[in-house]
This record gives sequence, C-alpha cells and structure tokens, in this order.
Amino acid sequence: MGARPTPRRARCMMANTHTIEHGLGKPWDCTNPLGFAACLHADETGHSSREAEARLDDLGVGAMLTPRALGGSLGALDALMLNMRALFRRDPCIGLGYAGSSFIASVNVWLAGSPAQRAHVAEQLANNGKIACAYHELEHGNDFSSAAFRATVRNDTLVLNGHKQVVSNIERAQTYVLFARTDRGKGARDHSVLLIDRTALEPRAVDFLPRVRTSGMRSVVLAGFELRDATVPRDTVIGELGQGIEIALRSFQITRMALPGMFLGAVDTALRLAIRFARERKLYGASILQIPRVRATIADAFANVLLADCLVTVGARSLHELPRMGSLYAATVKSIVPQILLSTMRSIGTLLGASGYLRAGGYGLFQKLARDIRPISFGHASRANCLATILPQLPRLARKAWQPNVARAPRAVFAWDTPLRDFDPTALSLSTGGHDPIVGSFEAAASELQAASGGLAAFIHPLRAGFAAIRDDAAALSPHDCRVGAPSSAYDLAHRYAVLFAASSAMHTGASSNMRTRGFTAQPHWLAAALANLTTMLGAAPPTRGDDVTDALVAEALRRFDEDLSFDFHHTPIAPWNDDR
Amino acid sequence: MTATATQPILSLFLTEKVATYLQRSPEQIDETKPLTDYGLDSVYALTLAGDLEDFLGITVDPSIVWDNPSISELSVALLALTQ
Repeated sequence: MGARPTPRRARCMMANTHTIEHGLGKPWDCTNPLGFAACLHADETGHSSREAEARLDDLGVGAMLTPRALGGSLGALDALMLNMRALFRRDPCIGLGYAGSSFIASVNVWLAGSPAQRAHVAEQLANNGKIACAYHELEHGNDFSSAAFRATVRNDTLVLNGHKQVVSNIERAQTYVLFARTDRGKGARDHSVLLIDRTALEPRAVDFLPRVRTSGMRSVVLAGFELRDATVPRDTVIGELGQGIEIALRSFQITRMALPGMFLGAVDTALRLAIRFARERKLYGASILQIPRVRATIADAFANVLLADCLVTVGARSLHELPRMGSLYAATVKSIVPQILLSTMRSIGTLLGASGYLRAGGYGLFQKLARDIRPISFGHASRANCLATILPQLPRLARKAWQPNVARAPRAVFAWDTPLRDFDPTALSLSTGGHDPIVGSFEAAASELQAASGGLAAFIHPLRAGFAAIRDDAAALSPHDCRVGAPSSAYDLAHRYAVLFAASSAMHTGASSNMRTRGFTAQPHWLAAALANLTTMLGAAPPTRGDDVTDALVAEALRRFDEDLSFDFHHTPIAPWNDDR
Repeated sequence: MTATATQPILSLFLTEKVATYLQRSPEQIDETKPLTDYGLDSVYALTLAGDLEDFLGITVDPSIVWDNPSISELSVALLALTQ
C-alpha cells in the first residue's frame, strides 16, 4: 500500500492512535455517544446511533483505509492495525461495522482495480461511504469457489442474477465489491470480482433481503440482496474476467492477517475490566488480587495479549518484507491468534464470574465483548479453512525449508523500530515456493534466545521437541493426506505448525527486543508465560513457572491500567478510564 | 532437473503426479481431460506447482495450472516456461 519508510513513522503511528482515542472521547462518560453506555445501548437495540456515526465521520476513518497514493493515510499494515485496534477497543461493532467491513472490500480494489475504480472507492471512503463486501452465499460458506451468483457476459455488459447474504452494510452502502461466477466450470478461472455502484442497478432488478440477526455484533446490520437480470457495464470487472479467485486469495493475505490484530482491541478492554474488578472486589476480608489463581489469570491474559500482538505484528510486517510468504503466514496467523484471544476471553469471564454475566452496570460490557469477539474464529475464513490452506504446504516445507542454514527473515520483521520496505502488492503470491524463513529459523531463534536469557531454557526445551516432531511428521505426509477431506491427525499437524510459527516469532522478537530495548517486553517474563501457553497448545506439559513471572506480569498490567496504557506490545495511551486523568 | 524438459517428459511427470494424488494408476488418467473433472481442486494446483518447482528447478506460479486445465495443455505451457 505504498508505505514510505521514514524514521518518523513510529511517531506518526502513535499520533494517529492518539487522535482516534481522543476522538472516541471518555469511555465511561454516560453522555458520550461513543462511550461504553452508548455502545451497550446500541447492542441492546441492534442499531448504532446517528450521533455515534456522526462523531465517527468526523474522525476521518475512511482516509485511514485509503492508500497514500490516493490521498489517504494508509501506509504500513502494522500501523493500520493499531489504528483500527483503537476502534475495536471501544466497541468491536464500531470496528467492524463502521470500518473493518469496508477495509475487507476495498483491499480487492487497491490490489487489482483500475485507476478509475481505485479513485472511485477512495472518494466513497473520503465521504464516509461504506463499501459492502458481497462475497457470501449461505449455501457455500467459506467454499467461495462454489459461489453460484452469476454474472453473464452479454456484449459490453454483464447480466447479474443470484443472491448474496449476511453482508455488512449492504443496505446502506453506495458501492459493492461483488464476487460472481462468470463461467460454468469447476476451475479457478470461473469467477470474477466486480465493483458495482448502487446507482448502476435499476431498482426493479434489486430486492434487499431481510436483516439477519446474530448473537454478537448486534449493532452491525447484516443483510443481503437478490438481483434479477440487473445489467451493469462490463468495465465493472476488477482486474480481468476470470481472475476472481486469484484476486480474492491475494486480498485475503492482507485482510486475514490484519483482522485478528484489530479484534485484539476487544480483549484489551476485557482485561481492563478484569483488572478493575480484581482491584475493587474484596472477599474474605481481602482484595481478590491476593488470590494466586486470580493473579495467574491476569498474568496469563496479559501475556496472551502480548503474544497475540507479537504474532499479528510479525505477520503484518512480513507482508512488507516477505510478501511471497503471505499465503502461508496469513492462514497461520488467522488460525492461531483467534484461538489465543478466545481462550483469553473465556478465562477473563471465569474471573469476573457472575459480574461478567450482567447486561448493565460497570461490568455489563463484558458479556457484549465476549459475544462480539466470536466471529474472529469463523468469520472471513474459518479456522478449518486456514488449517486446510497450511496443510498441503507442510511436506514440501519439511523437505526444503526446515533445514539448517536456510535463509532467515529480514531483521525488520522482528526489530519493529527498523523501517519497513514499501508494501509491493504485485509481490504477493499464491504459493511460497517452498520457503519458510520464520519457522525455518526456529532452531536459530531458540539458540539465540537461550543464549540471551538462560532462565528461559526450560520453557524453550519442550517447543524444540515439538519442532523436531513436526518435521518428521510433515515429511511423512502423503498428498492424499493433504486434501480438505484429510484425516483429523493431519489437521492437528497444521495446528502444531501454527503453534511453532508463534513460538519462533515470539522467540525472535524477544531476542531482538532484548538486545535493543529496556522496556517490559525486553524482559523474559512475558516470554516465559507465552511459551508455556504455547506448549500447552502443542499438547505437551508446560514447565512450572515461578511466582516471579506472575508477579512481574501482574505488576506491569496494573501499572498500565493505572496509567491508561494499552496492554499490547505498543503500550499506547488510551482515552482515560481513570476519572482523575 | 537432469534431463532437458520435453513435452512427453512433462506429460509423463504430470500424469504420474496426478495419479498419485488420486491414488489411481497412470493409465486411468486422460491427458486431455480437465483436472477438475477428477475432483482436483485449487489446493491440488498448489501442491502440483510445488512438485513442478522441485522437478524443473524454476518458479512455477500455481495460476499456470488454473489457466491450463488439462495435462496436455499444461505440459505445453510448462515447456514454454522452461525455454
């Protein structure tokens, strides 16, 4: 997206997050249309308020989603993720409904659209318009290559017939990115992506379908439409006719990488609720913060937020530095980060107990966040879908890429203060060519981290054993075991790959940060907790961690709560929770 | 790759690979039939492109498999790619 690497990038990024947090206003102010009370009210009624939308319009979110070359501010993907995370931190419905769904749609156009199409979408976003991503048909789910909506070529036009369902903002969007079948076959050249303006559709050819109600994200309006012989110009095709699946697979590499990093904001807020609860709650004459189990839950949740941020940031940066790896790494990040975030949300729910079950009051927000975050695992590529993308690549990676002395990832992937290369959309590929610099350098990362932090040896050891095992198991896979209908043990192998990707990313980032910075994330505590959690995900027994690890994590989490700083790696200032600030 | 790629060599390689994926014998594979007719989806195109890269020692984008649906079409396109 044409990132310009300048030394000032990090500061600009902070300024943007700060501007957004400031624009969202005080979260606990009952009169704030974007405060938590208003967000809960929107959840109860199933609609966002006009005042809230107007305030968001003033923030200029559309420009944030638009590349710099087209007049927006979109440059590096990790910076976009941080800005969007601020919206999700306030309310995932704002994040997804107001901004995220337009982001998913517009990436198709940024990657493959004509100059006129790109300019059109940029203009829509600048005017706070919504772009609806009309891919989904209920019958076909994530199997979008079976999509049946037809666009039939007739001279210089396309005739559209069929339905699209469960699409965010379809009822109010001016522009649709539409995935349609343009040929009859069963191959990968039988679909196209179209950019359609609402005004181009004759009203008699369009029927909007009833709204679909959901258990979470309740103020995001999901609906569909049915088109009958709607005629649109042939130049509505994005890229070439028949390129639909290819454009989708390239776009997904960006969107599937970025979405979990945005949703992370919801867990940041849930953890803040848990800490306030632990601070306030007294049982048996003492604060529950003295109870080891409560402390362990807070420590684990905080370590998991750091780990998740580490993975999405490494992933986003790898799209700039290792664009050819996108097909593998986006599926990997999308398969594992939602798992980490959802399990963190569950344990926070356990800590809150009955208070987390209430629909109003100081903790009423939690039950909403717990419902809102769930689409992270099945929305925009299910976990099964991501594992099925990873699986067929493993045998070749085991042979070629997980060997000693393979090429390592560029330093900028793990050293986050290093400027990134410009993002080059043309370098995104459908396959990795048998490369895997992040997992391929697992052993190097383990050795370097162990040399830097000897105390972590016990935490690194079981993961090393896991890496040796997956190398043998993947080499023994037959192509037949890599189909969508593969045995579940093969899917487990893809899951273990994702865990080792996470471990390698965390170890590299930790070793790199240990050498250069002095902050909390340069200390080994978060890594000890994160690596232990990953060992559990691998199905092995984690080493017992000392009280010093828990104490350090809890102390840092409390400090960030008191100082209104985010719980992610970037510890950015957030709109104050604490009234005296 | 040791030998110079010719269309018959490429066809033979592709037929054997496809037969392996389908767990059939090579004689059961018709070179002129679209691979999707055998139930080979876009995932297999990725696997096949990987195997071709290892065999030919060059970069093979999976989209070449999509653009050339049958073994005979694909072997012609691959031959052009290697020359």
